Amino acid sequence: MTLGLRMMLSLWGLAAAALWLWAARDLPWPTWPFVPQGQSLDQIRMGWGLMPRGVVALLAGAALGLSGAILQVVLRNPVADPTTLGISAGAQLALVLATVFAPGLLVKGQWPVAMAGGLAAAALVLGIGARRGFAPVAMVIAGMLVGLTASAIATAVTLAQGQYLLSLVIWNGGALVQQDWTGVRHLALLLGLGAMGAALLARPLRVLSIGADGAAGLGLNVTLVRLTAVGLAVVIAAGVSAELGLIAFVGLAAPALARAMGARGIGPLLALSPVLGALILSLSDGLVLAWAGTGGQTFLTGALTGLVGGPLLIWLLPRLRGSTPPGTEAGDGPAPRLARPGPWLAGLAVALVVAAGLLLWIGRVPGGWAILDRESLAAFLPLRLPRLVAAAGAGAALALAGTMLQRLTANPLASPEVLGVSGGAALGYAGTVFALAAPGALILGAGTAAGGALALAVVMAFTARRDMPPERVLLVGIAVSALASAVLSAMIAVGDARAWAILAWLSGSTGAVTLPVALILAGLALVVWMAGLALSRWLALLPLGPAIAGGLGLDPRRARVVLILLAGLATGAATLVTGPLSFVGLMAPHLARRMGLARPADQLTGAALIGAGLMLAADFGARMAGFPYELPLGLFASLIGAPWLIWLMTRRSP
Amino acid sequence: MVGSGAISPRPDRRAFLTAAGVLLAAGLPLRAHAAQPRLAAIDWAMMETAIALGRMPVAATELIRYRADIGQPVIPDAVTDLGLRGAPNFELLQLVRPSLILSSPYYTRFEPRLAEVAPVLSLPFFLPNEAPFAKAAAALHALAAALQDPAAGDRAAARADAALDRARDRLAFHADRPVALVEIGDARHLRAFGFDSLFGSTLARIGLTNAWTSATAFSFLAPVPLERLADMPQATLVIIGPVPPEARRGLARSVLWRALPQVAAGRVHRLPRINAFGGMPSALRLADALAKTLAEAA
Amino acid sequence: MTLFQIHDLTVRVPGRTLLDNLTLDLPAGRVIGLIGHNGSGKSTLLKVLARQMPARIEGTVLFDGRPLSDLRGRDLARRLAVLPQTTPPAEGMTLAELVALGRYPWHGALGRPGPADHDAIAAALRECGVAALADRLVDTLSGGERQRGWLAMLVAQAAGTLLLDEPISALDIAHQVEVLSLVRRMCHDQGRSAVIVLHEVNMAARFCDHVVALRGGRLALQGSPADLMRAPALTQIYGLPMQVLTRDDGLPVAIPA
Repeated sequence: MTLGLRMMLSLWGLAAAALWLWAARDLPWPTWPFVPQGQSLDQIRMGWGLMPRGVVALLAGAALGLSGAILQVVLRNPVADPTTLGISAGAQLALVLATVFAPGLLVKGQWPVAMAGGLAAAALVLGIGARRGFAPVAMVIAGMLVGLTASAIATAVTLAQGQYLLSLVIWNGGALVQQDWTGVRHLALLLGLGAMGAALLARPLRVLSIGADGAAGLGLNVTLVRLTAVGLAVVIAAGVSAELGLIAFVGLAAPALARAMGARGIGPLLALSPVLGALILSLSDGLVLAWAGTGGQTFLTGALTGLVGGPLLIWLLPRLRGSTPPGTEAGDGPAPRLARPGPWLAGLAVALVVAAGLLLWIGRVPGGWAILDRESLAAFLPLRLPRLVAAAGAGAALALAGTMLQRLTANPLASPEVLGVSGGAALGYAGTVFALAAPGALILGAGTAAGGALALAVVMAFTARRDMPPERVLLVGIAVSALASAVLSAMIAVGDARAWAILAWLSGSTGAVTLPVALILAGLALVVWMAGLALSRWLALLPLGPAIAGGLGLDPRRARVVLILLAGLATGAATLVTGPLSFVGLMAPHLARRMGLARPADQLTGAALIGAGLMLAADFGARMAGFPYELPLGLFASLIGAPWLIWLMTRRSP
Repeated sequence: MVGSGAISPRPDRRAFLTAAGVLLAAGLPLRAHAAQPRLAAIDWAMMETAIALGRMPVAATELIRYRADIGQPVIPDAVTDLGLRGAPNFELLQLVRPSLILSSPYYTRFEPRLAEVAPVLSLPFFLPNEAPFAKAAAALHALAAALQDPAAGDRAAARADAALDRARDRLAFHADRPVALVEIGDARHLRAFGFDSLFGSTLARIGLTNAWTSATAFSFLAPVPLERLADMPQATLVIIGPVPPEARRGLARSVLWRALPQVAAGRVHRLPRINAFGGMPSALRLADALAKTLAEAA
Repeated sequence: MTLFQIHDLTVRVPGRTLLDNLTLDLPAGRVIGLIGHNGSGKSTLLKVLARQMPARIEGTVLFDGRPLSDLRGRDLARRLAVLPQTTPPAEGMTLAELVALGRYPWHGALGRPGPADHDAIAAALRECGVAALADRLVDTLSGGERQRGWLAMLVAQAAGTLLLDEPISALDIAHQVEVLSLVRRMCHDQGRSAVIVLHEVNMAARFCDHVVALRGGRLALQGSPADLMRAPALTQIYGLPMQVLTRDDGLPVAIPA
């Protein structure tokens, strides 16, 4: 350790200690013997509140730092951490499901439930990763998508149950408040076991760092080491989650800082990361304590670390090495190719129109299903037409954006959800709801669009860099989404009934769309479609990579900017209707491709039609399944999309 | 559309629209068509306000949850459930043919769509740094005026005043001791009801002192650490609604909880779940439940 | 005539100098082989010539007497065709479609392909002997067929100069000979120039008219294959004692001594 490093660490430690002492300034120290009996209330607040809280911050931070360091070492992936790998979201989903459907499971505490959820998510992400050679980018995309799906389902379930439980809000925000030393005991045990495991694993991990094949050649049981290490990291992270809730990004930041401070090699990284994690969380919690001292409200510590971590992730991404070699992401095998796509496209269009017509005529009423007669149709048309047009327009726009992004990045996992536009738009919406007491629809729309545009600008700033390969652009988008979700959970956690408005919008609904808005959306989809057709030669060239495309005189940077703008515009508009998550942008291009629509123009058209159809189906399902309760559109689309996604990602590369 | 009769149960259409007809037969006594305005409530506070005026809405949102969690006032089965507050079912709303839709600023984003179905009355209840109780009282008159029955508003207000005065009298013995109204979030956090909540502002009306003196910054959901209760050792602690299962275990072993002066002195009371986002009926329920519980304990 | 004039070219990446003050003229109308040991800078030089080097470069590179940086994207692509070391998968594309992409520099994103484009595509398919495979999916072709298909795309581009980065590294020996013969025939029959990065010194000697050898980012040797195939020259280039044998037909063969 250098002198500068030592100075910095001690300064941080001092600052954290000073903040803690500031919070404790009015409280008397407890007297010996250290038992509650005979102590004053203030002494109890000190000895069984503030003191364990300070220790818990250190222990939890150290545990998260250790967990992140283990994950980053074993996956050879500098952006791996419990948040980016979906572990936290898995724990969250498990807790939400338990709280809503089986509260009895929680009587024994949140540990087993959170642990099961985190392990399940980790198993899924690892299963996907194993089939893709644990490529860092593929792993992070898989983790983020699993995480986003889990959060979407958690949000939708919460909403559909018509309750937003305070305990879940607190858990989402990650609170360090303590009232006895149980939390300290749990976390100390966890950290002790974790440290022991890490010490035992250090040498096998060092061997593994030369690569799986090389390590196997040296007689290492690669699978066993990987599973043990990841399992250990997951148990540590899920344990912290169960005890304190979601504390984002400490596991990411601590190893990153350790590396930035010059920790080379696995031993120093595993040793320094817990120290830094403890300091980061202590400092964050100290700030929260100081803040709570001045106002009446609590700002949850986990939300604060999320605010710091998102930008950190964005900053780290350009420095991420060990990317996926081109071509290894294509997990589909050769797709069929139609000799004559024309009739198929026409068939799709006809099917879409017929389906839309059918959905106009049939529907549920109390007591059963009804087919409308002419007069009732005239009465219902103003209600049904806007939402059908809006759903179809949004589906088509997302599908077009997805097709463009997948061709641009030559990555079949690209989709508007991971471009970050959706996340940015969500932030814009939430910001508007919080800034104004009762914003009108127009102002809300403007705020949402502004948020989407801002996220787009961040992504664009990265694409403008010459040496930024397309899959990194994707990761910037993911980082923006992650930041957005951190900010959103912070807003909801410190928030109030306005959180309701955000939650309702997050899951999406076509209910409030008026016909002019729907027509604008459909028109926009049409414009994007025509622009895509005009640029179909770019879409044919770009999957061949910048070397070929550039060699043929296409400026890949300009093409990237134009296509990302188009995709961003389409996504931002569709997000207003569907909410930030639907997976239609991922599925529709794939379905079009599997149908044999290989040429870019055909794929674009086919994907747009399929996307429109999927969204119509999702909208119909969302309205009919729980009649008269209209379920969130995003949930329904995700329920179609998530299994598809997982099936897609677990297919072995040919 | 409302007046077109397109979906009224005429015999020739019955084959197509049997289900819709069943709905109308249940929900719409034809003779009452002109006399009684048909109210559809999107907002719960507005629904309760209408009920306080003696006008049961023909349709309202999230009735499953309202009946299960809150239960009081009782909503008859004939009232149509319009689905989620965040995403009401517009087609069903159209089918019940309301003559007035009751909404609040939370639902501004639907207002253009609602206005296509029927006139909308949107009244604010919960605004930052304002006491909702006064708004709930004013809403009685405003809604009554909109229904062209101002006398009903006066009657409801008088009934409410009488009930609140009774509660104040019964609680006079408690006037010198502040009351801390909370909902338990988890074993370490609670939700506090300051003067900017319906419950907090109702306390003042019934002569009680709210222990949460600072504004709760319009934050019904924002969790407050349990230890904040130590700042108000004199207060009586009143827990509204059930304690979540995972919190029960945590509270039982919490050193701080047991050391809290309210807990140590046994000044902890439990009330049933009451609608925190309700109107005057919820305020009355709180007043009544408080009077009953505190007076019994005294 | 000079194809490329390279003057004082230096390319650095953090911690390493890839090309060190290189000054070099490459003649036009020839098949030029770029050889050298791993890390000698031969691929870097080819990337610089193809304007695909992301790092900052110092020095000047003239192409046909004009600074390389002056040419706009499609202008450059009409004169200079590039084949990267690994060709990407062309998912779902037929060979005819792939070759048609070679016409992009001529008609751009929006222009309609005319008769000249169709003729160029047909001629390219014929010239590379892949006309019979035109409707096959690129990803279902064998390695040699695929490489000839990509060369057909370069031919359809109708550029006077071809830059090929190790075009035979993934092929078996028969296909290596086949592809390099094709390149050589294309250059000599149609008056094209080619710059080819090659690993195999014997292949370079056999198929190239002119050889440039780099060592540690500097010029080690430039001249005819005969100049190259001498033991002292090879020893200097590869830093390893080399021996040159003579085959029955008189061609020289280099092997490590």
